[in-house]
Amino acid sequence: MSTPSVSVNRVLKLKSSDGEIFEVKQTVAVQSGVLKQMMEDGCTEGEIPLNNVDSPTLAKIIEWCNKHHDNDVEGRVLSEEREKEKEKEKAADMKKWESEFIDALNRDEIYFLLTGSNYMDIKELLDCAAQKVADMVKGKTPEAIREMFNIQSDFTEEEEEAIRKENQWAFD
Amino acid sequence: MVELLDLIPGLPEEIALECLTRLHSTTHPLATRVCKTWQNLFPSTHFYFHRKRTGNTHKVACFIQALPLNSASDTVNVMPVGSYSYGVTVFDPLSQSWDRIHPVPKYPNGLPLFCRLSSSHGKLVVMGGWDPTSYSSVNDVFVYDFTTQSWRQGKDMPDNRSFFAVGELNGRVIVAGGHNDSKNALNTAWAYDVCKDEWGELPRMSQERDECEGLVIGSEFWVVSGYKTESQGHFEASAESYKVGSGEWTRVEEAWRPSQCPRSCVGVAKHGELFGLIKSDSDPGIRMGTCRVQLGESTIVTGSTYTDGPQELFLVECQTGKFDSLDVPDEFRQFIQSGCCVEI
Repeated sequence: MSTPSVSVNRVLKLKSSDGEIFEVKQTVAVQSGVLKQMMEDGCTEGEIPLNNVDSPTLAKIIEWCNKHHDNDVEGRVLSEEREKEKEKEKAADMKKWESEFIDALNRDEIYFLLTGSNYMDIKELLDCAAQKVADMVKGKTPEAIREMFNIQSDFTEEEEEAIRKENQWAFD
Repeated sequence: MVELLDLIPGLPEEIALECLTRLHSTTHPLATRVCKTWQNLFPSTHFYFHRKRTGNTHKVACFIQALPLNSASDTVNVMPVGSYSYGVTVFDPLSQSWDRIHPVPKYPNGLPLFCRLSSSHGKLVVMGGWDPTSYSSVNDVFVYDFTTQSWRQGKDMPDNRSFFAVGELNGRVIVAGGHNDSKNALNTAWAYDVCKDEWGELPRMSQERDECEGLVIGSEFWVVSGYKTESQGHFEASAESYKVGSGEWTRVEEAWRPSQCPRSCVGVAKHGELFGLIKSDSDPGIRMGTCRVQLGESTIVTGSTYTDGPQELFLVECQTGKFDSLDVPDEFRQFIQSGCCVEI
């Protein structure tokens, strides 16, 4: 599939906060800024404890990274073969996969994914999950937004009334 | 001091901020009603800068546009120009959507005539013009906040001034030239700090410039052409620029084609040369009542091909100079007087 390199078959052992061990290829793990740094510093022997990431979240993160890695490799091949159309198709497929991946998660799973990808420094995943949260707000009333995020309104009734008056143009 | 709650319960502050930064600007008005923390965050300048820095802002065009006649309550006036009332129209090139901003409370029946528009850190600033009923010049300043969808009145312009140049330089709105109530052309210039609601005087330009046009190029504010009191209507070839922090104007002699009115139509070519409205092979022949608004990589050009002709709008690609006619809903086909770009 890809050109062989020293680290292609080497794996890292990641240990989730609840003690489960996950094996990840080094070529996949570089998507995490933290793991990449550890590899460069040569301190990836044994189990790498990820104390802020539980096993369901880590499984999701690895699924994401594996998919992205495979996609990147195939994308590079297409690009070398100058298959512009197929490359475009591939990018569209990836977008679709990403949105299905993220849409299947509930709010708390997304929160864990956000904190996990932030902790492991996986920028693309953090972007995708943060965008998902932003999209969840779209088209909702303030009441629905509060309910979704479990936010308690700290406005007094008078303040609510004042805001409603001030903003009435927005709801014409 | 009110104690503020978490931005999003269960998420660390920086991650919650990452999420809220990605909210589309059209959701901001509703978001400010969720809780006090959000109400403080969304309209704040630091949040705007954060959104801008992370590429989550986008550019819209704001126009001073005549309102459709049936919606104007003042129809008594019979003057051809005065029979129109003006309002602010917002065009979003991304969503191709057209909107009208609700009237300034002080002028519910239409903005002061010939008022000028500028942006400032994502807000829209409306300045000066003539009272729509008495035609006397006004010094009013209004600031529109897209986040709260509300107008506030700013500190008045420090002197009487009509037909002046205006533009945003580092968030401050600069006004220069124009004429005063005695019809004397002005060489004075002021800068308005929208956050502090303060005016500060700038050095005087090298000469008076009535009906000059303002333009921002990089970190410089340019005042193009205009004319002195004694040479009414004879537009000058010279221009001058004010650089942030320099404290002085730099004059350029042959910057503009003499006797051509620069109003609402100055553009900058790639090599920095100033030109009139159109510089393109696919020029559609718009000559009357023209207005151009630069939106990053493209420019919106409006006007008509003959006097009182229908208003036409084009999106012009800066790279190719290609004109694409814009599809405009009927209620936004009225005369467009001037415009500016606001990054919201």
